[in-house]
Amino acid sequence: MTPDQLTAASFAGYSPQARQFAIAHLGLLQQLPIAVAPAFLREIIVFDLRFPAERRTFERQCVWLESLAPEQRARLLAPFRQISMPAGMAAKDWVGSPQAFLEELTAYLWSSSQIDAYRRAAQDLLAAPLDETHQKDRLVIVVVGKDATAPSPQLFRKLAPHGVTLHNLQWTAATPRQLHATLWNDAGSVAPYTRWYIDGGEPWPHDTASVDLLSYAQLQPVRENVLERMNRFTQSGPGGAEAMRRMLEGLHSAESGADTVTSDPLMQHFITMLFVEGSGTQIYSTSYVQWAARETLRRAQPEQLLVRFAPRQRQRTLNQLFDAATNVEVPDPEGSLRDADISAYYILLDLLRIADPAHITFLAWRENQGHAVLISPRAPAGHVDDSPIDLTTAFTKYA
Amino acid sequence: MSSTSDAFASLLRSQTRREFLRLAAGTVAATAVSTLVPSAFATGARPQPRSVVVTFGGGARDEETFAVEGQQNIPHLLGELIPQGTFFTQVVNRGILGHYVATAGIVTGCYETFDNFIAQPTGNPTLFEYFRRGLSRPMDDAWVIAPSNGFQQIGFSRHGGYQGQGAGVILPKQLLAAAVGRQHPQSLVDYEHLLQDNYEMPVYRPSLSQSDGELHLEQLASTLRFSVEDFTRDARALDSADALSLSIARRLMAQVSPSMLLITLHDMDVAHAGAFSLYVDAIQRADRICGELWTTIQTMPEYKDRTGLFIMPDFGRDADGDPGGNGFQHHRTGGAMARTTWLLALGPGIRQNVTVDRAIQPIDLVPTIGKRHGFETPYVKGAPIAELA
Repeated sequence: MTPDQLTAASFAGYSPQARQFAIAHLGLLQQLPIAVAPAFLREIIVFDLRFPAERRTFERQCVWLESLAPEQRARLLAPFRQISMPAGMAAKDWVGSPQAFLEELTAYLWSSSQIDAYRRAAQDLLAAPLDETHQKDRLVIVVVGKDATAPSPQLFRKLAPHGVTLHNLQWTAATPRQLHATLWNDAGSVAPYTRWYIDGGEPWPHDTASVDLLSYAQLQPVRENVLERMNRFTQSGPGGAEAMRRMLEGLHSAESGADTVTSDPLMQHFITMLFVEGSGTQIYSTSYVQWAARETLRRAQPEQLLVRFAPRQRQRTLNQLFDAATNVEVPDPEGSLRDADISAYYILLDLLRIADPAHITFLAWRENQGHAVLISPRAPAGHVDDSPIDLTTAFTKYA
Repeated sequence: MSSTSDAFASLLRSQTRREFLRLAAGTVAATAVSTLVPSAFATGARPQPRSVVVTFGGGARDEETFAVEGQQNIPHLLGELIPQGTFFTQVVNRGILGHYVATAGIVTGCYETFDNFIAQPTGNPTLFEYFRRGLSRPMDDAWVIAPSNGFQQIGFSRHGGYQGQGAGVILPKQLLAAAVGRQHPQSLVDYEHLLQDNYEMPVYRPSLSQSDGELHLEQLASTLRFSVEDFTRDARALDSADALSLSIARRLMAQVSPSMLLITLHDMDVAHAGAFSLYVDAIQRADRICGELWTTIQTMPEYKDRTGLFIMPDFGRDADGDPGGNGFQHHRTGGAMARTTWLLALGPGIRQNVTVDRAIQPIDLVPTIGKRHGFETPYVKGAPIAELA
């Protein structure tokens, strides 16, 4: 089948909202070259399990493409028509199993030296402008360094040029509560999936009704379930990273243990994917926190987000790390601080992918210490403030 | 990003890296090949040349190495080795960015296109086969020391014209697992830090069948001339899988003195697990190992003044700002930073304290070494590097 042969009946196997979306945009899908149409269907086929914000983003991309003049759209799609594919690939079930098709296509693009051309074409095609009319103010706070004691003068080196460095931001016993209050201070009704708290260990006390929590401790059943499957896979013979990923992608949230964490099917799917798609999230809490923050920003696009890193376990052999049953975790707080440092920078980059810099406030802060960087439209870039200052005053002055 | 801007980005990175090097080591740029000193092997008494190739299976980005903030991680490369060699700032890998298939491309001089996750011989002849056939060298004159089972077949190609003329392959972790298993079957835990796995290919575990184990023990006794007891005792003092590879390389050089040796370092591929500090620690170890290897070469009469050392990551890693990747963690985007790496060459006939900014490719290494040694490499797709050949 080729895309121009798609009809409403082609999506009979899709879930209700996915089918509805595909039919609503059938005209666009029919115009796509086969090298890119499965990439759209990969997004559509799980539409029912997507967060509201990512549904809007994807729909905006489709509407934007539909709004282009035919010659403009044709110009964007032309590079995909130049992609050669092996005979018979079009006969595969790329409508019913777009992910499997794309994995095979990707391998072929690499081996046939077409991956760079495809990458450039995809970047151009997906360059839908930010929706300027609906920019929301977003606040992200990242706390790093739990249990780390060694001085780290290089901390936040990548963040510092973008905001004001605070060397004496006063951390007290009340700070965790104050951070929560700062983040969730709007007493009005809140849209779902707009307030998130990600923690690499045991979470701070918080109002569970007002925030979506993803803590490493809370998700242990899912993590160990995935680890056990990875362990069994590696024991079973030849395969490889790609084969392992294919095995895990078949994992339904009802089987992953996510249903023991939450009754929300969207969250169940999201949690499962954090451990299925994330590399290292199953074994290192710092990798988990960074990936969870990235995926939360990319998919849920929260307006307020608190991210707290905790010590990951020290390095051991992968075989041992996979084996949850015998894995005795010894923490590495100093190494985890270095992990969290670059992760905080990555979280800022992820934030800037969904938000205009004029609408963000970003605070990275070393736990239990005074070293922080505050980035916002009012914070002078590259500025250093050594004066003692509390959180409220810092926000009043710079945010 | 257009191809023009990709090229521009590559060029900018090259210039930036060169500026870093000038600041750090005071290197000079090679502006014309004609100014090169003649090869040490071109005239006069010709000692049998030797070549040692070190690859990093797990690229290291500029930010963690040659950029200002990364230079603290590579004191040996920057302070000791680069001043003694020629540094190529822009090695562009146009092949598949998977460690086994990319290393296969380095040793064949052709971009191999097989499935990176299936251990298999290369389709094109290898450096070792060209070398042994071209110079009629025996089997024990070419060796590979590689990190995992995935590399077990890299010594020999499937090419019909070079049957039985490849290199021996030592898999250090499998060797250690076999030795420890023979001595104290329950004590592998004492060596866990030396058995770090390949994070990109986790199924290539150092698990052993009985026949595999016997084969490794035979290699330990007959090639390395090491007793199980001495080997495991020495290994206990090491701090990582790459350190184990260096230790075995030294033993091999002392016992067998191969003329052609490939060592692939792999600790830094822990980056795939997302732990930045572990990745940087591994870069620092690789830097130290390169320094120690060069010192070893200079202190062994069989190698001193006749050995070229070539150090090259197989490719880079993804850029922080590339939305298709996750920063240092992977090399999946195919972006310019993931494709671009560097080559450092030291030894007789190689100019010292020089940087070269023109783009070369990893597949250029085999024809370069072939020209230095004087053997043909008829199936390569790369070209000899003029500054080295």
